Amino acid sequence: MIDKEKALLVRIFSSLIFLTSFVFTSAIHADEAEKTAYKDHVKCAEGEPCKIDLYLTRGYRAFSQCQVCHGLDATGSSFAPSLTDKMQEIDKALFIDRVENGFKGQIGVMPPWKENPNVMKYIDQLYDYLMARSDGAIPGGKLKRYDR
Amino acid sequence: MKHHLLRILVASCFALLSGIASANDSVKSAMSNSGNWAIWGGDYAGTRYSELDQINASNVKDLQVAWTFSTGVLRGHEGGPVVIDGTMFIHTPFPNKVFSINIEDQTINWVYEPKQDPDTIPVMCCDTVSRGVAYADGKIFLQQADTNLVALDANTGKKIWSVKNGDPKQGSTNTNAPIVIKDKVFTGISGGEFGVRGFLAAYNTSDGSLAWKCYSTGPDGEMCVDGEKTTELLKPIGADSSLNTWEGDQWKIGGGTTWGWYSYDEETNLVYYGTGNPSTWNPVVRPGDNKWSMTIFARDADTGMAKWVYQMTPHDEWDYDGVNEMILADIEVGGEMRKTLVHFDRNGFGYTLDRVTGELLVAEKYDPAVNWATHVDMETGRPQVVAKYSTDQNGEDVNTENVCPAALGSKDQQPAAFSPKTGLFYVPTNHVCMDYEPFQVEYVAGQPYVGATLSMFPAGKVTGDGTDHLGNFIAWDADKGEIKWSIPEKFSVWSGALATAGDVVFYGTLDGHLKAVDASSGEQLYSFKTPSGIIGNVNTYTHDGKQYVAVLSGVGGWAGIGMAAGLEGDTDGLGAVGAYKQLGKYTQLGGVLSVFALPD
Ligand code: HEC
Repeated sequence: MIDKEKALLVRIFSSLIFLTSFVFTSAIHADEAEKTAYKDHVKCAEGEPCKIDLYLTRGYRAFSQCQVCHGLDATGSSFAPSLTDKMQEIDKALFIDRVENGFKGQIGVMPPWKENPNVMKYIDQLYDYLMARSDGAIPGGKLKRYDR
Repeated sequence: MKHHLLRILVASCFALLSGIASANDSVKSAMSNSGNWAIWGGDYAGTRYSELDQINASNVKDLQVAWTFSTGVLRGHEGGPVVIDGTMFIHTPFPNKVFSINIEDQTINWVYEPKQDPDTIPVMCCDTVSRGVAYADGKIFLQQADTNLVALDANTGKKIWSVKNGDPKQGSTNTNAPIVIKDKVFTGISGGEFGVRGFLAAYNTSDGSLAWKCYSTGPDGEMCVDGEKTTELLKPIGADSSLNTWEGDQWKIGGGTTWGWYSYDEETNLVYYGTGNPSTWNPVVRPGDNKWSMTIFARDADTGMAKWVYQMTPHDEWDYDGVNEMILADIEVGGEMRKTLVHFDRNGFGYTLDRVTGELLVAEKYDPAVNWATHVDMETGRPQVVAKYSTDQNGEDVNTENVCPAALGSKDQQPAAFSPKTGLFYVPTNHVCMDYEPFQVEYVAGQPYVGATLSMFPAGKVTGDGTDHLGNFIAWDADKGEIKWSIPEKFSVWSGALATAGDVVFYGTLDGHLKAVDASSGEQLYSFKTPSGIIGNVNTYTHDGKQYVAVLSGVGGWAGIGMAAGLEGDTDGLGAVGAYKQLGKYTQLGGVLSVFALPD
């Protein structure tokens, strides 16, 4: 009886472990996939600058609204932080929240963009573009398209 | 020393004699004492020239720091302090503090610190700068970032009145220094990147009530122009001159903001200033000349009516705001003495006009790298745009490469100086080019409305001359339209210059040096590293008969952005990575006033 109970408990417990670890690892995978989603939109050939597609170009265009503060190549200015650094520190959910709602921090005020269609329509593209910049997959500035 | 006292005496007698001194007289008498620095440009003409000559080309090498003052504010410190009879008024970026300092012992008489909504900050496109205060009639006028124009009692710092000049919720803010002419205080508006419609406003100094407001764009009445009487290059501009050059209602969100400097000529009674870029940065969606953005305005200081206008960059395709300072100088042009207005535009051309009539006399490039136009047609006044560099002709979604200058211009707002002794203009410049790609954007009130992506890099990448510096400090002959000498600077020169009767010219650098050069040769005579990068304007004044030179350091502003240009990953063109080192390696944030003098 006792043994049976024990066995059951062990089974429940181990399946719990299995379950959480499953949820956990898949979360990591989802997170990783989210962070590197840009890879489907960048093509690099030996000896020439990487090219991007329309999708990531839209992200770059949305980023034009951010250039006046975060620098032309996203490496920051005297009054706003480098996004190439920041993108490594925050996940996509927080990124979207920061961009949508803005916030006031130690450095200054990040404006909210929720009412700006030029940014919000392309928030995924913007996130992917900045992740690509942050991972060093693409340089700053205008990049050629491979899909036209 | 005696000389100086005499001057004060004469000045105060003048003030007394003139009886019921109007605001104009108080400014004029303060300016007539060369021991003061009474207005942003040193005088109404915006020459930034001082008669003081104790510090001169032979002794400037001995200059030392006399005292310093920290503003306690980190953001970019543009403009410079005003000095009136032993008191210095120092302004700061947001939150726009004003300090009144007793120069005698450098104690603080009073501090004004407005409570402003921090939501104003994100509406300011390029750092929260302020370019200074104006003094008149015992009052200090401050244009706060939140658009409130306030009058403070110069003795106590108490607010006398305050008036709202715009609405930050709609994207308008203020960064400019106001000026006072007669009984009115003049101010403009910022927010070209938010589709704000520019104007010049005159408020009564007594109570802050609006005297008049004249827009840069729109119907004739609202612009205070008269199709018959207002001229461009001596010809009447005709009716509906602005409306005819915009498609539909685009002019309502069409920019032409007025965030630069204002000059005044008592003889013509005209106030001179320039208007900024038409919005959006995508030129394709706003066919036409987009008048009167990018324009020099000469307006009657009493009524606001425009006597003449001149549009330098019709249908802007590069963000070459026309707001830079107008220097009013009487110089010989083509062998004849002329009352001129000299202006170094963002678009890279140095213009000399007759300031009475608006006739165009000279228009030449003041940076040889300038390539977007071959020249200015002197008949029509129109720049001859090079198709290759036309972001409009190349069209939306096309990257127009290697345009010189970059959007920050061959020169931005940092004012130049003019020495009547040498007849030369001393100009802080940028030597930066760009790629620019316009695209479609939607307008939402109070939201940025940019419509182009850009990247910037040293002009040497385009000229191919092997250089990698980002700025020059030049001496300019406004008669011939020629550079007399040019000093390369590692970074953009973003500090207002000062010329003196001591044959010395001063300017600051982004990496933080205050420099003095010989007014004739440009030879460097002195250099001192201040606590932070300099984007402020150099001023001079006397106290107890001794000459001082003062400048705010405190890096920031758009200069901080320009610096990131081409810093990374830029493999084509120049290999000289050295020049791309971040400005952060040279200097950090923080506002400090440094005051210099010769040893006793
Ligand atoms: C008016 C200037 C300004 C503009 C424009 C601007 N930002 Fe920011 N942003 C800031 C400042 C200042 C901060 C830092 C706030 C702090 O930490 O004090 C910031 C921080 C951030 C962060 C870091 C968030 C974190 O949790 O630390 C992200 C991500 C960001 N911005 C993205 C963007 C994007 C994307 C855009 C364009 C859509 C943009 N910003 C436009 C000023 C700006």
